[in-house]
Amino acid sequence: MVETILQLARVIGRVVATVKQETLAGVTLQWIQPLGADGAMAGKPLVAVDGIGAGPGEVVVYVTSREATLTLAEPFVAVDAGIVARVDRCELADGLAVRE
Amino acid sequence: MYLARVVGDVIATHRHPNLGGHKLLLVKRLALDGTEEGGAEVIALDVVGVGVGERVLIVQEGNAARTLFRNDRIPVQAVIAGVVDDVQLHVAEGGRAVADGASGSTEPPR
Repeated sequence: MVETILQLARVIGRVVATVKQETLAGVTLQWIQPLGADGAMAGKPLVAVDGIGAGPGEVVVYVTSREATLTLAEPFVAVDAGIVARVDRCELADGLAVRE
Repeated sequence: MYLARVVGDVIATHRHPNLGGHKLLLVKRLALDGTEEGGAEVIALDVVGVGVGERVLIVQEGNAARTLFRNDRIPVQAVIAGVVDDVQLHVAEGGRAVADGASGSTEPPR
């Protein structure tokens, strides 16, 4: 079973890599910190490709493993994490959690 | 697949085009006895139209998700496959066989 899956994260930085595999040419690489819905950090930061243009500090939804490649135009790329949405807010049963 | 409870939802208007407009729900995995397990919430796409608080069945694998949506470009790994009305356990915690016919239902306290 896939360990980390569609999750929440905050964009904490950007990665600039001029020399890289050509399938990543022109692709934005964001440093993201996985979050629980309560906003607490949940796991180590990782680098995800960003096909939607998330800004610094924003909370996003990201997907991992094979599905990450579906966030890029070219499906056969070596990526394992991809941003799929920018979160406006999360509403938890016991009150609001992560807010934008 | 596993049992989970819907604990909230994610409002995200700015999305990747392949994701479509499906509802993003936050679910917490449930143990056999119906209590919530630890760990971060999982985000699952809603196909059947469930509300917060409901118990659901999660299928957590990208290919299954693509099959469900009949869309091989949807970047999703967890999907709500159904709403769970009841779970009947034939084997009690710790593997002891439950008396014939008396399968204990794990309807959690409402």
